[in-house]
Amino acid sequence: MQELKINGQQRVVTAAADTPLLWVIRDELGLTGTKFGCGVAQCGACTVQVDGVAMRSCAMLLAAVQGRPFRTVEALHEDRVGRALQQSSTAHRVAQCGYCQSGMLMAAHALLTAFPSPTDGQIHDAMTHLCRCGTYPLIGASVRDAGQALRSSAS
Amino acid sequence: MNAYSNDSDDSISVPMRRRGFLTGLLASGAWVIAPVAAAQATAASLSITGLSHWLQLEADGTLRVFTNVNDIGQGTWAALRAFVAHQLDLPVERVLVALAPIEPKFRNPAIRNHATFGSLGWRTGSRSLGPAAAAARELFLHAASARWGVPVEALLTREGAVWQQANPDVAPLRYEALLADVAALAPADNPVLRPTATMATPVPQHLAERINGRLRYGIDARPEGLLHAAVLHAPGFGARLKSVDDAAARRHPGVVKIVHLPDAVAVVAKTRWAALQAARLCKPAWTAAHPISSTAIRTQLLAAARRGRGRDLVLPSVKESAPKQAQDAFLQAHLVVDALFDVPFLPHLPMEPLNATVQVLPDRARVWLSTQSAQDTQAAVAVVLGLAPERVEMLVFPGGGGFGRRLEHDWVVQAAVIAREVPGQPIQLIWDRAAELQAGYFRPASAARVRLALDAQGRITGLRADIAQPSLLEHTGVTNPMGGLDPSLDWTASMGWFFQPYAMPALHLNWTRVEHGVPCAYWRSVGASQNQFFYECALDIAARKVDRDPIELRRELLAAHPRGLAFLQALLAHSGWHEQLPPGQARGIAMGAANGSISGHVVHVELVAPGRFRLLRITAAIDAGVVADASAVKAQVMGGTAFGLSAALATEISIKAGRVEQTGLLDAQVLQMRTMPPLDVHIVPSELRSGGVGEEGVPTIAPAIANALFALTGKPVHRLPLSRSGWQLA
Repeated sequence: MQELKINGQQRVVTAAADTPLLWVIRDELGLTGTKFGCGVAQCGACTVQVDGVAMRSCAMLLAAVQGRPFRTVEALHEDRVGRALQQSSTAHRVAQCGYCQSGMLMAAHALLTAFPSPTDGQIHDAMTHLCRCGTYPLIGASVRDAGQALRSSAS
Repeated sequence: MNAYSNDSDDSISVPMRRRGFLTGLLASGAWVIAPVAAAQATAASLSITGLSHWLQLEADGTLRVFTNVNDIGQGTWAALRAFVAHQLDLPVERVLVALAPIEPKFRNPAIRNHATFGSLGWRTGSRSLGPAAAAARELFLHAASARWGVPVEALLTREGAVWQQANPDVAPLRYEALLADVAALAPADNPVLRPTATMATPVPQHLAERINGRLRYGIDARPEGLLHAAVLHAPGFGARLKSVDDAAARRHPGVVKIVHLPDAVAVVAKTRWAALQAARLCKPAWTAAHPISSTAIRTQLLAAARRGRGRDLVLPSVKESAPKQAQDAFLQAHLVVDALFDVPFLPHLPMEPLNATVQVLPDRARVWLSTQSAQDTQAAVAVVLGLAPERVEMLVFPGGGGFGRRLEHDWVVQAAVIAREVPGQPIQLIWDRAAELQAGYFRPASAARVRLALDAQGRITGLRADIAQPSLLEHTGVTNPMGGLDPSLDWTASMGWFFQPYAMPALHLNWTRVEHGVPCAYWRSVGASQNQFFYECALDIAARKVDRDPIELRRELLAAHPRGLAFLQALLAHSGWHEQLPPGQARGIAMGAANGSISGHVVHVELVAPGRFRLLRITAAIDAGVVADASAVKAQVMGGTAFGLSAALATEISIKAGRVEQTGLLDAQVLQMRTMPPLDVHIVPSELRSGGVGEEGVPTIAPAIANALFALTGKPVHRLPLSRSGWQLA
């Protein structure tokens, strides 16, 4: 039994401590927005935020998030950065199949929170996620636009 | 992909051509309005049968549009939704696209199947749904006219209701209030379609759910009591399970069952983590794999292409396919260009890993699945479980990509066999990337010897292509009778050679079938993915040989094809082709036709060091005929370009002693965002019938880069990926 702080809620899970966080989120907590894509931290589809840092949940053990708040895509809309990203993603019609998008957005959220005006290099470093539909140019554009929108609404 | 279609040909015969279509429905007695069968809708809803089963207007004013094409990210649903809303004059939010049940009446008549490929969703769907929706709108006008005693000409439709033009104060009649009246009317035979120019911008149905985590893919199916299955595949093609020491795996907490399959070991457990851990504890012993090596296959393919003693692919409907005339052209040639090319096996690797959830009950089964081929999968699962197809209930989910891999059903059949061992309980099988790659079903490796005959003026007078590869029809589990099903005459091998805009004076296509034991499958753009590389590179090699401008050479071949010529002009203009370049930079071009569209790329490259280059800009263009959703078309061409670029640069599947050497996404060198160069996509306006857009971005990116590198160095590229020809991105 372990208590988790997920998306602002306390939840108790029974999974073994060595279970990758991804499977706890998907199969025990029932939050299927976080996706399995490779299981070896390559594709980024499973990205969540732990203490605000984007992490590949497939390569993170349940024990490692003990007492640390973490967020999944289901809570993305709860702050202005998340909403700005969702708005710009909608405006650009970024998603094709959409399978990589929750991981991409969680990484973009962490990036924009830390760097509201990211350079292309920062975007590329933060978003090594894979997309087979080839939406990369639109993802880049939507992250830049979301940053722009956040800056102009802040000023 | 589809067999032998070009812009002038009518090979997609949808029995819903405008003329006669509605009459035909009337004759069959199908055109009535009647309460919908309970299986399809609530008792309160009504459907216009004959429009019929495809369109269903609910009593609350919601219109359900059924399609046999799944949503795998290609955007078809958005276009169909907007198009039907436009033809019926309904607000787009009140139109919902839904997957049709797998029943004969819902098959795509062009392929007699319930499957997703070849951009058929929009091309055939719009041609049937458009007239149906337009006819329905006319019926509502007539019904209102009768109710009010006002001529139809004095009425108009707006937002799902009929209004009196002269009396806007009269309360409108909503369509759903007119359903009973419409039942008594017969539709006009030739409904007038509203022009698409005034159509509202399509709004994808699931866009919000795709970015808030709420869209459920097949992998997100969570039936009550779900168990989880993981597999270890035999470590090579042809290897069989001899025995397995599974004592430790059996003791692992949560393990429910270990299933021994002919070529795999499967673990069923209460949690996915338990299944994965227990699978690692299994110690299987395997028989030797077939001694298959991709290096040996390559040698074999090249030798077969060089020899060219295969089967002539001659089609009566392809006038340029003329082996005799081609022979004459070579006899009379002033000069012959002779080039040998080859390309590797390629994986699909959709982001949603291959997975299936199956529950086997005493006399039936249920399958939760993201698929491109619901009907063929249903049939295959039925066979393996000994059930009638209709006893296999298919619960189809949107797919996290497909690219052709989800046209197959190998993993679903495996899941059904595993599920049979835990009767009554649903199991979810997920293949990891290693399992997916070792299962095969790749774009086949292929070799081609291309010969071009040229006359004394440097004009091309004939083409002979000797290609070597297996028969895709032999391997694939999807049935597509459109191009014929005879594996000894694989029409997909001709894709990219036939129906090109070029007026090749004489073309001789010879296919040597080389079967090597590696399962092969359709891969986004199918035969065009390799053949347009062979064709377009050969043209540039010929141009250089006779010291001619490759553009001029193409223009000559396009002289009798105004659409192709206009396309070339547009692509050149958008790319700034004629602008002077500094030393060390070059541009390359490639174009081709498929699925009724013409598409192409211009690539601008810079040489950084020997063997190292930079992609400064990619310009893509497409003439896809009438475009319903420009944003989606551009997105598809952008995505196709990225897919083709990934393969062009470095992706390949290599096989040693029957074993696939790549086990993951990074091994397969899948393109990342940082590698994606600046890209512009242009739609070349056209009034012609809509063509495909999903496959069209793929085939020409590799030859455009190859031609740019050739222009830069004078050294042609004969082999993909480019890394195998000594080229890497700087």
